[in-house]
Amino acid sequence: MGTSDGKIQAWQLYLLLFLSRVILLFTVDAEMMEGKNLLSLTLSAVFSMLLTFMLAAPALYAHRHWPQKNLLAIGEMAFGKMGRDLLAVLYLLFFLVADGYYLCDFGRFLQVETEYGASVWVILAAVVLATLYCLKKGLQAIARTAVLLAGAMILLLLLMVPIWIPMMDSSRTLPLFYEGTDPVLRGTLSFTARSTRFAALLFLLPQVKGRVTRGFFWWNIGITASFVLFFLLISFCLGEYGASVSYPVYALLQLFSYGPFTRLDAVFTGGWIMAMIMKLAMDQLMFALCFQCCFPGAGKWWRYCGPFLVSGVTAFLFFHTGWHEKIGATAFFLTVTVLVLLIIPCLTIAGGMVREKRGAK
Amino acid sequence: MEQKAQTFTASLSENLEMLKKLFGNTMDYLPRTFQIGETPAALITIDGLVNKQTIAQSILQPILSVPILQLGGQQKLCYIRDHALATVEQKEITQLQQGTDLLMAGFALLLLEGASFALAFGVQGFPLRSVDEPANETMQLGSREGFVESVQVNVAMIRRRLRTPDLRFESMTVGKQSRTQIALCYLTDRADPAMLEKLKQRLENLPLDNVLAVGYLAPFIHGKGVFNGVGMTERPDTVCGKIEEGRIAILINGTPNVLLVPYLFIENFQSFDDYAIRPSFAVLARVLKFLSFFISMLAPGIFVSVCTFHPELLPMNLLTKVAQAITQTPLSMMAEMLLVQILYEILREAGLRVPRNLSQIISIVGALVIGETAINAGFIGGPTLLVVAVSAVCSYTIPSLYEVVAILRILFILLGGTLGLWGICAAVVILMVDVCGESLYGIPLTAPLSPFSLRGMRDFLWRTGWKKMAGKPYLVKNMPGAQHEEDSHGDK
Amino acid sequence: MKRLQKIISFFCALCLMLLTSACSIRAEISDMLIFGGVGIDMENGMVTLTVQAQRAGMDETMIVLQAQGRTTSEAMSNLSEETGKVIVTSQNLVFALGQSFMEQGRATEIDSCARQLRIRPDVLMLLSETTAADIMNARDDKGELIPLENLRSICQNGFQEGKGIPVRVMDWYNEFYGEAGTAFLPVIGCQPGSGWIYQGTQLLIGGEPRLLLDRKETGLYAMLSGESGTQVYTMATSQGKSASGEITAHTEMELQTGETWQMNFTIEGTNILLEETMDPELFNSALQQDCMALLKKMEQKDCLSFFWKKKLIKTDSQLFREVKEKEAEIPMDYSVNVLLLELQEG
Repeated sequence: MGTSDGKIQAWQLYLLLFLSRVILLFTVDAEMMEGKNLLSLTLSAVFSMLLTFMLAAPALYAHRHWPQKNLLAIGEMAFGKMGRDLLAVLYLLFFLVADGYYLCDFGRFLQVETEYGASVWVILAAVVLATLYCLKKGLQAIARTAVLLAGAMILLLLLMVPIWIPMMDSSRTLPLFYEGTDPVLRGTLSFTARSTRFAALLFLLPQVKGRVTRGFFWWNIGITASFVLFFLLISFCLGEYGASVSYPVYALLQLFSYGPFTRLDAVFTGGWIMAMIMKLAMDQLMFALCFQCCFPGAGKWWRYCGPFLVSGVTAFLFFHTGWHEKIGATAFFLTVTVLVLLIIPCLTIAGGMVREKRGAK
Repeated sequence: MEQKAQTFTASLSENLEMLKKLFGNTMDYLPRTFQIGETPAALITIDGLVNKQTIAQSILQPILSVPILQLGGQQKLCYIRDHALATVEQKEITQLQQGTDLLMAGFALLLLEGASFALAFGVQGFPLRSVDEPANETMQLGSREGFVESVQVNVAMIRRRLRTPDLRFESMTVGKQSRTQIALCYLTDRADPAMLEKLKQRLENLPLDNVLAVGYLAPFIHGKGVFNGVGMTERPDTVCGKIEEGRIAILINGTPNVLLVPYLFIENFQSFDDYAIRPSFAVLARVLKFLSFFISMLAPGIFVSVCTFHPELLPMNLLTKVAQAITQTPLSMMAEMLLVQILYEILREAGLRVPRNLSQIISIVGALVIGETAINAGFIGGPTLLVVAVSAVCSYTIPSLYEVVAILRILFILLGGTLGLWGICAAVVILMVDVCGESLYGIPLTAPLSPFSLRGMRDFLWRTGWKKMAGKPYLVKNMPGAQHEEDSHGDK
Repeated sequence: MKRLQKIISFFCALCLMLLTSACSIRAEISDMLIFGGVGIDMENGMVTLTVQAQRAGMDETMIVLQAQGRTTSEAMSNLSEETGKVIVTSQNLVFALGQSFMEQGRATEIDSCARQLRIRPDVLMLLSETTAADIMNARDDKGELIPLENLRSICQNGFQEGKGIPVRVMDWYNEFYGEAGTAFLPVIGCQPGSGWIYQGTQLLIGGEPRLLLDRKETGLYAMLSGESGTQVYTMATSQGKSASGEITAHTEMELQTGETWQMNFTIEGTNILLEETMDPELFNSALQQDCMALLKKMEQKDCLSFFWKKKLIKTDSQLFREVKEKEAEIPMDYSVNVLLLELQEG
């Protein structure tokens, strides 16, 4: 997979993460904050940004200290091969379930969207096949593609924003803290819970060159700014109506009208599917890393088993709505996110540093 | 037959016997035996490849006028070589294989009894097509010269334009049977030596028996992806421009097409005219080409998917018209689009193969009979025909991508009809990953867009003026992401 | 062998895609019933759906169809069954509600169709003066259906020259289900042979119709509530003629809360153009009197909350939550002050 150098630039990684993060924007709804004033989400995004700095800190610190080691390598240093394998299994399951969840979300959207008889499963299969192909091509190909896709998406959205701005009307929104501070807090936790893409920093940073820490800082601010902009647009253009629909961004895109260009909700679906493929490909790269760790003797084709397993998880969650809701519940999601992004990496890094000091002595 | 091991001997009859064994009874093998003094000699030529007048004036007459000297065969041949002959190009050869190659290239071989080597003289006189404007690559500005089938003439055309001693031509022979002469053309101060070495290795190991066109060579030197990294041109000015950027051109004897390596994806949207016209207009032309590429590839598929899965994207007026057109036709939108697309390709293929006298009939039959009558009869709808026509016209703005686009167009129609816009989006991602993952001789195919280089953008979507570009060549070996790496063919 | 495997795999994938994607049995445009406008009436407990739809292949581009059901969803399914077509609502321009439908308080019925994923948020909503079926069946002199785009232009161009305050699906939702709970719909009537005419605005509270404002009152309401800034105001003169003035108004409403709440409206008019020579003070006082009359009328129907609720949400949301359910008990007083500046003589 990939080239002998195999490294990507930091800004390529962050554009790839942008695509992953934009899925959250597409799927945001009032249920995340359990309120009806979407303006609260602007603050939620800002507070979530601060929390995500914290979540990403272990990965960035580890990269500074051990630039060539990913989490598994640090785990091996800290806890030996058994510890590394255990870490690999944990993260393997994490990526499987997280990707299965997000793919199931997309499937549910398609089910509502595809009223005209197209099979949701064939479309999901197309997504999985595309992910497989991306996996085969490697990290560099994925990163370069992400640059093009993210660039096109950002350009398109920037062109559309001036069309929405005249539609904004302050009379549509409720005051910021109309429902109190609880929606802001719930929104913050929801966004933070859905920060699973930062796991990429734990595994991929050794293959990244450039200004990683500074890049992450500006990336996080940029992403938050774009989220805030969109929440403002949704609140002032749609008002409480935006809180009543399942996909407020979709409704906002439906509102777009400029000459012959109307109903750009296809941009929403197209953007989601492309971003989903990139996200899955990135996560499955990490899955493949963990899989190789756990099963080093397996043949080279086994590294591509991830997307198939994800499809299985998706199918399971699709037909067991209860499980889907349990996994998607903020409490569970947040617990898992904090565990895999903060607690486990911190323990691993601490173990690694202790071992290093002992070794030095 | 161990031709490589065979060498000429001092015995004239043995040498003639070896050559006779090789050529058999072929009618164009012409051995002419004569005496130089008392020494038997033979002049071997292949009929049709040599200029007989030149042979008579520059070889036979001087040889036969040589004073009779009491020298051995070897010394006599050396004397003739140094004092008698009037030819410009002459080579001393000892290997039979080499002699055979030179005979096929229009040389004449002089053998002398007692001399264990032969003299080969360049006396080519085979008929050549005259230099003319290439039919497939017309430009508004720039020269009207195009390459011809002779590699020597082509080499001369490039040499005339780049009068620098850094310009090199390295000759190679490919094809076990055809023994086709090719020439690698590059500038020593600009081309990447590692890339040149890799290319030479690939060409030396070609398993082909015959190399009769560029298409024979191209698969062995381009990548595995959908968009390969090898370009073709028939214009010497284009070749000069490309090798100035560090590329390597491969001239092939017998075909006017020249291969260019590596050929980045964005180069498909560039033409020589862009550098001869105003930059502002060049930008417009490039933007149109980009748009044409996407329209040509995606328009039919998107139209099918919108009509089938996403009618809400069409404005009501257009939707009404499309719906009425669809209702009148018996086939589904996808089937109709595929049918029209295939019909168009058939017409196009027929137009290429038909004799010129009948070309008018093809256009009448195609346009009027098939197009208009089919619509009136209700077999196909007007919107479908319009979309196919527009995409066809757009595909001709980027002729280098025509083949790929034609296949992808059909694929996108199938995807649009079965999976809608979602399938098309997924396929677009796969295509993008394929292009972005390709690299040729260490140069990413999507450079300088991805990996991004601001400096590279000066000749990408827009064309910076010559005042800024002059003296600052952006060499292909300096493209972002360029490195000595495992490329698409799998060798380092 | 490897290449052959790839080719076989490709063709298998292609066949699978063609077979499993249901492309052969999927509805095409010709199998679709594309809604242009939806009218909802209610009679004897049954919802009557009247739609203007486009059916491909027919001589008439748009046709009017009707179906009944206990709910709007049921009526839609019945329509689909009767016509044998798949209903497409994505091109729908208008939702028209009949008087009977509104009077019976079934406004929440439209949720199921108005908030589908494929319905645009800016689809217009309006109330028919009679029945929604009349709106959908409006024809011109030649007996042809009038395009619904004309209806959009009546409702959509803002409040100018007596045209309606546009209400879109998302505005309807924000007003009807919003915290203020004050909703309004433009009332459209039909004139035989000439199409639609804007008749006024229906104010609703809690889904119940409360007060019908005529065109002039709607203009004054729009000005007082800040919905619109440019108005045409017509007054009758003593000579039996009418004089009209176009004003660009900037209205400020000052709300003082206490034992008795006070709403003070200040209308600053600029660019005043009087069509007939008249005393500006007369124009001033006529405008003021008409505004006061409107406020009194709204007070009688407990509709003054249309003015103060939205303002209070923004300025004092806590007080709003306290008084939200007790609005009828609040003693309210109001005043209107008109300042006309920049007079121009016509």
